[in-house]
Amino acid sequence: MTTMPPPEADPPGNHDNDRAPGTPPGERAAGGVAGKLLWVDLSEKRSWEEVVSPEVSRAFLGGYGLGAWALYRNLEPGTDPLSADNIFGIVAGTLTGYGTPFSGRSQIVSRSPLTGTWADSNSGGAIAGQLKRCGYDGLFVRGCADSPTALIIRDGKVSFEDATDLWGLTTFEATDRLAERLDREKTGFSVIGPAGEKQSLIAAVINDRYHAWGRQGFGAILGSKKLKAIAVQGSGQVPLAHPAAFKALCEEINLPYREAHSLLVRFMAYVMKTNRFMGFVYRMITKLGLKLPVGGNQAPMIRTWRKMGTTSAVSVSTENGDAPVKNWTGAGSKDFPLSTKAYKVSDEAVQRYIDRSLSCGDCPLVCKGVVSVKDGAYKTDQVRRPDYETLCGFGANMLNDNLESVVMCHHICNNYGMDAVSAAATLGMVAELYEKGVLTIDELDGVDLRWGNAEAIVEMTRKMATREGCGDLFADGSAKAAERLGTDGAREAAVHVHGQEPAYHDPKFSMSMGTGYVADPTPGRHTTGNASWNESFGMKLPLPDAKPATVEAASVGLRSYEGKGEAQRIWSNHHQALNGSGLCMFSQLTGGLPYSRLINAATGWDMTDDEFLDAGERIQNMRHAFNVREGIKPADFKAHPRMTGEVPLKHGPLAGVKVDQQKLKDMYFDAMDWDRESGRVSADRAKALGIEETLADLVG
Amino acid sequence: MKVRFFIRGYMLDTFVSFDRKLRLPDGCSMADAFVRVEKKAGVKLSRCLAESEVVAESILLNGERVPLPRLSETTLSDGDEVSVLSPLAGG
Repeated sequence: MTTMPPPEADPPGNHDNDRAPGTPPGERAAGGVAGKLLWVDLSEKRSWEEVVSPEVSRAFLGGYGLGAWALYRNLEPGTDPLSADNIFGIVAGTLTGYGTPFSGRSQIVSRSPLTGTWADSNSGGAIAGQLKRCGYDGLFVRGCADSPTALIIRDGKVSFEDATDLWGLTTFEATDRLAERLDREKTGFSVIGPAGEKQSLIAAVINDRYHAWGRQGFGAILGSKKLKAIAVQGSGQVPLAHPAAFKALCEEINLPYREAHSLLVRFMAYVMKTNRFMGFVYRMITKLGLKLPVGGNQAPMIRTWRKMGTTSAVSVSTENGDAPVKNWTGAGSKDFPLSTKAYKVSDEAVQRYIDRSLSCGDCPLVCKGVVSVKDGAYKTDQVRRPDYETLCGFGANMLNDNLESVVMCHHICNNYGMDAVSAAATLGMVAELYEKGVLTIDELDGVDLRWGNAEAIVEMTRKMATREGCGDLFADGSAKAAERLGTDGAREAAVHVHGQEPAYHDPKFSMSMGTGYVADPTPGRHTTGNASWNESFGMKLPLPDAKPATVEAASVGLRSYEGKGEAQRIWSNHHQALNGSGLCMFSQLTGGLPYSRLINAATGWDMTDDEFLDAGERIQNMRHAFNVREGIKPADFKAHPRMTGEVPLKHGPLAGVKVDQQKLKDMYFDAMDWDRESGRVSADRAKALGIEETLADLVG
Repeated sequence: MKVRFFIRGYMLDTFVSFDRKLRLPDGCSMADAFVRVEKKAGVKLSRCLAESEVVAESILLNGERVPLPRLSETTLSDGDEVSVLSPLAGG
């Protein structure tokens, strides 16, 4: 393994490859990787390029990996996340921008204003693909604009445009306004709404109207920089190393998904054959709003996901205890029963509002949707379908079976640019405090936030998103709200890990989910790669050519602790390699893709499945090291007692269940060779991964 | 007596979505009921419960978990609700 260079003392502005805005991009690297980053300083209104060596591209891949590599070298420890000095990066994966199945994703990295930790997010959206078409693997932004600004990038040309007219607009309005002058189909848009402008610590960035970098407060970072929007258009293409082999692999991957379509759609696909004909067909279908008919001999997984996406999980998860309800104090099977409540905010019920399916782009699965509520108090037009987290959060968690109100809450979150997971969890805390009399109706501006009061839930969501009245108190998430309220009751009701609310998966149901909440560098997140893929779903590690011992160690029992640390290590490394590749985690649902073969066809490398996992481990170590350098100790990430069962549930399938989350975390740290007390990375492991010089001050 | 069954999720490579009230003989145990219901639900429940730890952990009677070894000794009553659930990926 090539040894990585140590962190550089020079700021990126001192790199000698500055290029005046407006000049065409230079030579692009062949083989899947552009080999260049675009840097922008909003304060100085200038941009420059940084060359990335092929060794770095291979060692860290793209996405979170390249992002962690770049930020670790360029972001000073102790930087205030909402200061001009903070940097955020939008990064393409190694497989982004070629129509690779499941690659319509864009990734963002920074330091979180919500948790103070390393932050990253993987969302649907075209901006990373467009960056790649501009000849860049990533865009990194620092500084702060004098006034509201839109950053417009067309191939090599960087423009800092006045966005005063966009400031105050919702994300839908701002995106549509930009799309009036930039071709919507050929542009990636990332915008913030009023929540981000007002620096809500749970503010999100919305991509292409319907997709969110939701968690960890990225919207506040853009808001602090007065950056309302980024729009990127690229007309080029980084060449592939082996185009024919790459195309053949994509065809192989798409085949089972294509076979899940009716003969008519397949005939259309054949007739309209293009170089990337399935991607084209799916875009056509999405654009036309057609539902995808399915035949009779397809994998049920594909059929169900294509029809309902994650909404299919809501009723089951509420009933079996996977989804926490009533701010982690209730049992879904008792408080929100499947037969009378949960069905109303799940799968088939949601389907009734579907207008059309929605793809992240370049996806054969197409698991998202656009919905409308035609009339009534919660009338909406062409908004993103609420998926699992939102249906659980604003539905089951709040004991709210009014689906139309959940659609509205979700739309408020997207349109105002606020994380739906944290927002709903914070509402749960407020409802609990209100029901207990800790908060009065006067303190809630007259909003009667009882469990299940749909009208009040929608109104309080709106207040949080706009910081109106009491909404200001809750707009930064439950931990900050509890701190401001300053009572033991409020602290007890604020279910969070180091400032961020966990998602709607209870570790008492799948214990490895909890390991992710407290051991991943981004606390409280459920999309960081956990052994629960195997624990809950029985999924085998989708790397058939990895060492047999690795594949075997990735399989564990449900309730046993045995092997959980090593399994978590393998799954989290695999997940980070997926992020580095630029792919969606749901590419694993039907057995995974030939990940390393795809990368090799794109880049010309000879990466094995084991090296793919090593790249993931390198990424995970960089994410973790970022926190260690910030002085964050492993003990700082604590599971709330309601998450572990220390405060036990009295009813339901998880009644009395306890999980020793500290033990699981220690096992994971041991498997990663991280010191349990300090978090430091072991010198041996760092050396084996080739990052000992990069992390020179943190190993040992 | 009538008992409502919810059987849902991926079981033995099939997506099962079964929600029906079934007439059962009085005093029927959960184990006996499963034998009767599996044909109607289109899934070999006994095999699924033997093969999948997570499904075996998600057997509920009126919202409370029933451990697999206690299926034979647990008798059903009129109006009961039985769930057998396989977890689905959220996101």
